[in-house]
Amino acid sequence: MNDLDSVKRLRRSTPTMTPQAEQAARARLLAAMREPAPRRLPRRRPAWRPAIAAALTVVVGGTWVATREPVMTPVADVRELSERAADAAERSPDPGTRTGQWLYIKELKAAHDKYSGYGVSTSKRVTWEQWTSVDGKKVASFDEKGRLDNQFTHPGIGAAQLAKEPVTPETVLDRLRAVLAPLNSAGGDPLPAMNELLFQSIYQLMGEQALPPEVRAALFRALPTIEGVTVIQDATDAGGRRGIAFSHTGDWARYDLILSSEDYRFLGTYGESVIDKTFTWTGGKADVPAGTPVTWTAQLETALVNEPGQRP
Amino acid sequence: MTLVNLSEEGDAELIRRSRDDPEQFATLFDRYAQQIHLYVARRLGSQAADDIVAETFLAAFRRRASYDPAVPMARPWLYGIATKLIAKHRRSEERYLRALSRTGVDPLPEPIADTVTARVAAQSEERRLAGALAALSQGDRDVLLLVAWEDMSLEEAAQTLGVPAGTARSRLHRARKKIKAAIPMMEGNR
Repeated sequence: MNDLDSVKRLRRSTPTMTPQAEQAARARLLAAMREPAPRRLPRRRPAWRPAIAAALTVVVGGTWVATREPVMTPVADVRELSERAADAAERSPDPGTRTGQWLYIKELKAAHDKYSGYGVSTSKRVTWEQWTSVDGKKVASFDEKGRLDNQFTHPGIGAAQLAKEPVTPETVLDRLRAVLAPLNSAGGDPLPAMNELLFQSIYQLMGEQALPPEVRAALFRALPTIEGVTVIQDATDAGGRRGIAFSHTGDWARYDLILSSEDYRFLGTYGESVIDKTFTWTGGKADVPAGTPVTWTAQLETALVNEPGQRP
Repeated sequence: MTLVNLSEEGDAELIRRSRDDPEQFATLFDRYAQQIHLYVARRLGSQAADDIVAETFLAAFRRRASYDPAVPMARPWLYGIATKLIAKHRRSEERYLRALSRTGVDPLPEPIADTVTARVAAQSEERRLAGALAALSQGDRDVLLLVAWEDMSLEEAAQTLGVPAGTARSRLHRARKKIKAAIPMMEGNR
C-alpha cells in the first residue's frame, strides 16, 4: 500500500447525496431554466393596504417544477385528500397555545424581485422570519433597519375562536365568513370573491397559526366544500420538498397549499398569476404577465414564543 | 441508418443544445450531481455539499454559453466550478481535518449504518494523514484529492483547476512527499 492508497481510504464511507438534497438541487436548476432571461427592474414595492397585501402576499409553494420519479400515491380527488389530511391532523398533537403568545415562523421563500414586488424570482431564496399572534390578528417581522414591524393580518381570527364548540367544517367556514364579509376594498382593486378569500384564509391559517387538531381537521374537511378547490398531485415547495397541494384559481392568480404527501403536514405555498394584469399606485405601475410566480415558500421551523421578535 | 441514442449523447453536445433548449442541461445534472456531491461531502460534509452541488449546477447553467465545445466531457469543468466553491470553505475543511488528527474522531457524519463501527477513534495512521492533509496548501490538496478520490489523470486534474499539466504534476509530487513524510511507517511506503 502506498501513500495514495492511504489517502483513498480516508472517509471512503462518506454518505451519498440524499434524494431530498438531490431533488432540491435539481428543482433549483429547473427553476433557473424556466426563468425568462434576466431583466432588471427597479425593486420598489407599492404601498399596499394591509388587507389586500395580506391577501396577495402570504401565499403558496411550487407545483410546476418538474421532478423525476413520481413516488406519491395519487389521491382520487379533493375530497379524498381532505379526508386524509384531516385524519392526519386529528392524530397530531395539540400545540397548546396560551393567550398572548406568538408563533415564531421561519421559512425559505423566493425573493421578491420582479414587477415591482408583484413577482418573485424562482432562483433566489431568502430566509424569512415572522411572528404571528395566536389570536390571529397581528403579524410582526424585522424591517431592513432591524426594527420590529407589527401589522394587522389576514384573516384576523385565531385558534381560540375557531376551536369554540362545535367545531365542524360548517362552523369554521361560518366563522371565517363572519370576519371576511366586513372587509372592504380600501380603494384600488376590488377584493377577491368570497370563495377565494375563504381558500386564502385557510392556507394562511395552516401556515401561520398553531391550530388544535380538531380545527385543522375541520378546515381540511371544509376545503372540498369551497367552489373551485382542486388537487395538484405533485407540488414542490421553495425548499425542493415534494408534496401534494390543494389549489384554487381566483380572478388574478392561482394559489397552492402544499402538504407533505406522507403525513400531510404543511410544507409551503406557491402562487402564480393567471392573467396579464397592470397594477397601479401613486407614481408607478407594474405590468405583470400571466404565468408570473408571485409567491413560493417552504416552512422550515415554527415555535411558540412569548413575544414578537423572540426566537426559540 | 443511424440511430442516435440521446441518453448517450456527449456532454459538449448537450451543453450546446441547452443554449436553445435549457432543459437539456438537466441531463448533465443527472450524470454528475451524485459524484460531485460525494467528493464535496468527503471534504466538507454533506450539508455543505448539498449547497455546493446546487450552486455548481446553477453557475454552470448560467455560464453554459462559454463552454468550450472542443472539450467533450464536462467533468473537469463542473469539478472546477465546485473546487472554487470548496475553496471558500478552506478554514472549515482544515478545521475538520485537524480535529480528526487531534481526537481521532471525524467531525464529518458517517452513514447511519456505519456510525457505531466507524465512530471508533481512528487509527494513528489516519490521524497523521488528516493532519498532513490539513497542512497542505489548498492547491496541492485539490490535485491530490482529485487524483486519489476521483481517479482523475493529471491532465484532467490540471484542466479542472485551470493550471498547466506541469503545475499539477509538481503539486501532486509535493503533496505526496508531505503525506509520505507524515506517515513514515506505512508498509510498502515508497
